[in-house]
Amino acid sequence: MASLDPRIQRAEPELWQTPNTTLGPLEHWTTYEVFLQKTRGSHAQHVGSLHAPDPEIALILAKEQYTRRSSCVSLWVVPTVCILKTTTEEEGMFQPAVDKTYREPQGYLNTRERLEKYRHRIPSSSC
Amino acid sequence: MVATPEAVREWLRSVPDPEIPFVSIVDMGMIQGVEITGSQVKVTIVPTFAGCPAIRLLQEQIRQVIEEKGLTATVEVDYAQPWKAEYMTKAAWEGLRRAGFALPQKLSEDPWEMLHSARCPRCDSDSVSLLSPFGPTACRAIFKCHTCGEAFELFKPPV
Amino acid sequence: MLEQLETLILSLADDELIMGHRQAEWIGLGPILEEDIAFASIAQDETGHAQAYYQILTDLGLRTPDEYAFRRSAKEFRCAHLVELPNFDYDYSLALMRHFLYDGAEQVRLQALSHSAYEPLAGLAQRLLREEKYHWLHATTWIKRLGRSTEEAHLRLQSALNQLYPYAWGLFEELPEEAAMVEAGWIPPSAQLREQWLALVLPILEAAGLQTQMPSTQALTAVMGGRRGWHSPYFEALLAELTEVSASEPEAEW
Repeated sequence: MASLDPRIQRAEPELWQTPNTTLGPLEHWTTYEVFLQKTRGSHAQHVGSLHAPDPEIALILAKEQYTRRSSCVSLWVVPTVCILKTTTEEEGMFQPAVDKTYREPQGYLNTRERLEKYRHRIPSSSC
Repeated sequence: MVATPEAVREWLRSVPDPEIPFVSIVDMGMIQGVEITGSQVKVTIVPTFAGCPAIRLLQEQIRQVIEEKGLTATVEVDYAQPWKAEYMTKAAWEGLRRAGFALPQKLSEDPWEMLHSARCPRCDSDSVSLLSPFGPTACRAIFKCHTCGEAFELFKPPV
Repeated sequence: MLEQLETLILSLADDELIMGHRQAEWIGLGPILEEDIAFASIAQDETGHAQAYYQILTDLGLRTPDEYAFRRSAKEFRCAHLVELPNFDYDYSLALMRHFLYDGAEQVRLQALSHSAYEPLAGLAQRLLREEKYHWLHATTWIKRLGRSTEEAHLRLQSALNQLYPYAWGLFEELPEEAAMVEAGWIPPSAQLREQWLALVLPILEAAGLQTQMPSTQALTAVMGGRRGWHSPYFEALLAELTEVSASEPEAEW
């Protein structure tokens, strides 16, 4: 069916060649992982990935993919293959065998309240 | 038959410029002299370019026109003086315009200046660019009009 | 003086508007999704820049940006032919080369305008330069990368350059009554900007391995006329498409 988009009609799609299904080395672009630093001093955080032929172009494309709707101060790109990751089979090692919730930080939630509560017990006000 | 130089010039209007057939050699200002001695006519012509390859053809055509009137003719070529665009009559310029040539805004001794002043003879646009400074003859340059897309020729005579 | 200011600003604004329109025609057709988004974003920037230029004139009591963009005849536009050219058979190397030649000119033009004696223009140029930095980085990176890539990429870029170069010269066509604008300190002479542009773009094209030897008659083969309202045969159709929606409901508020 003919496209209703005038741009497509101008490009005469019926004249386009059938795409070659075997990709050459330069046609098969690699992926890069993108990390974004929101403000100076903050951690760079992973925001997604993209295709690019080289790191320089990955940075240029990352700018429009990931900073268009919000601001940032810097961007990192890393070839996805450079990231060493654990496998799904290894997921089990992250599950504790016994209850270790005491290690988790929620125990420290009401620090300020507790500090106020016990402050009078401290002899000097040096803290 | 008694001929006057004016009559001879009138007859020669039937001879077209070999390169620009819409204009006669008379209007092009190529007839520089007509001398009549009895039935002998001597015509002196100035070629628009010294190396004009059509000189022999012209001489022959002029002779024929005169001889058809029962006179004898010699046609001499004057290479001593250069032809100038100012020899052209108004009719010559008008003929060129009607034939679809672009004409220079003003005549200049610097051919580049004439090239710079080209305008499209069809749509009057000055958005034109030079494709070649020489066309089918040395006095024509080829241009392209970027507004209507047509190619055209600028007449750039030696001044 | 107001008339000359309008001429100058329209030449800048109309280039941006029409360039933005042609680049936007690539939306959805870019070589890969990521590049499609980046290029579309650049197109949107250019259209926004046009609006900012028109606004200077609006502030002077002249027409509104919408009136400038949608209610003018072709003859009133002052854009160069380079930006009017269609995308022909949608060869991305042609799009990139036009983007490169144009944004190189923008770099030179905006640098000069940021010192303009006409303050609203100087202030705007300084702001636009910040966004243009990305455009220029995008263009130069691709040109250098592709120029030294495969033979096919190289040939396509070279033929795009050969085709567009005479049109790019038209960006530096002398404006009507330019001498008065130069005298007022608004802009440097077009010929001077063109020399700066050549000094900027030629080394990059050469670094990309492209042949930049152009005919010695280039001033005569350059495609001029846009600044005086003479446009390419493609322009009427472009304008019809650009103004189609607005013309269908001229009284609507946007």
